[in-house]
Amino acid sequence: MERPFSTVPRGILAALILALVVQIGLRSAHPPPAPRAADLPPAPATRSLAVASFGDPIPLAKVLMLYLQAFDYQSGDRAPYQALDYDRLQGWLTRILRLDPKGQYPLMAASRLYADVPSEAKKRQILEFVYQEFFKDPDRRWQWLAHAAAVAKHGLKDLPLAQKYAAAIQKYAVGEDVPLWARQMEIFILEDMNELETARIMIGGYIEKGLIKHPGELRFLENRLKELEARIKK
Amino acid sequence: MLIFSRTIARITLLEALRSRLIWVAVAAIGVAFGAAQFLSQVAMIEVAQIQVAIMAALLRATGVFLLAAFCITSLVREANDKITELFLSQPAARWEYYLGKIAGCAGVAMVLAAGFSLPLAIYSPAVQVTVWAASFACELLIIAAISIFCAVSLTQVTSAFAATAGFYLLARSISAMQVIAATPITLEQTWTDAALKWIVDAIALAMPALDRMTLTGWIIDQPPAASEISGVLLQTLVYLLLIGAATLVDLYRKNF
Repeated sequence: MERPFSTVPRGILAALILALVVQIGLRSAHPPPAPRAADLPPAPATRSLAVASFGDPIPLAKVLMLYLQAFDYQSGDRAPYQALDYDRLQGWLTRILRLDPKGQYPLMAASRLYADVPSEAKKRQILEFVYQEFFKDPDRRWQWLAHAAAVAKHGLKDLPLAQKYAAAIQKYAVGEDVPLWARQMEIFILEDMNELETARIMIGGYIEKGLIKHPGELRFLENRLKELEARIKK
Repeated sequence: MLIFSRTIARITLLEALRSRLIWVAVAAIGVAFGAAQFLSQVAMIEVAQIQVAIMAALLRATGVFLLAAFCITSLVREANDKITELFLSQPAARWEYYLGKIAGCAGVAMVLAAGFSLPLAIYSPAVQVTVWAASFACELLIIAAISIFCAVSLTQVTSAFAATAGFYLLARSISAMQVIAATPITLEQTWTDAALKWIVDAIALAMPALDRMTLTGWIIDQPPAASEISGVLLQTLVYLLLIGAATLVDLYRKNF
């Protein structure tokens, strides 16, 4: 059993309250500044990070990703990250992927956050990064390249670039978990590019090889094929 | 006046001397020095900076560990051996006992801060090292106060040490946590984002700004501005008062 509060001298209680108030005031007066874009340093060497991870790189990769995300993020700003140095950013993302190759966060951030900036050059640079990294694990990373294709098509209005990304997914992402819509992306982009003959050949190939198992999908593609053939005849 | 406190402080310092804490500290300096020399052989550029940065980081962590271990084991041993009861049965107030104990631990903190800073003066200007040492002493004073608070409240070495270590790590990383909590992945903040940020900010208010103390940059690059030094001193004073009062509340309410 503890003794009641009344045994504590009032002076001590007053000092406790006073010190707590001053401490709160002191900390409130100096909130940590949000890191600016210019504060992003060059990425450390892979070897240094390996040492810093103490043999367990995944937790370090996760923390570094959260650390990186904090740079140039301004709450409420409709265009965050636009002032970042994208060469440095790419260096960080590469290191984080080396530490945790199965981690999805760096490529998700690259294709969804860092590609969502007004600068076309920066957009293209980060999309190219996603494209290059895709080849290291296509069955796991296809979704970020698919998003990159969407950004290329709608954000950059660059259909050949979008088709290049979609073609890579179609050719290299062959795992069972890769959905058909992702592998068929190229067809629809080719249609948009008015490459109707190529699109027709691709759909025909899918149907002939028996790659389409679901009856609904098969019906959809057969209808699409008929529409294409009608458009080509015109 | 305060003879009782002075006696307790003297006993605490004697205990530090007799528990071979000094030898452990000397060994730590030797290991840090050796590690810095080894790494300087590997480095191609910035050799002196690498040496001093590695030494400073190692010595800072070691100093915190040694002081916390000493303060906690000293208080828990006294409690287990019923020495605390003997002290408190003397005609002196409990705050006098606490004052003696914190003064003794502060003395150990000063010796550690001075001893661990001396080898850094080989590589860096003395003025910068002095400022770093003063800040390190302030940091160690806060750790001593926290260790005493945890030992008085938790009364077990393992739990008190774990709590002190957790507190130290949290205090060093809370600013980074605040920045991360303020950057949700989506632009539209949900109520969970706002709640998380509020909780982290609330915790930060109660933590000392250890991330702004004893920075290695002060001995490698530029010394801190006068406002930074006064900020460190003010934070130390306020936190010593806060934790000291909290410990006394706990001490006064304890039945021995």
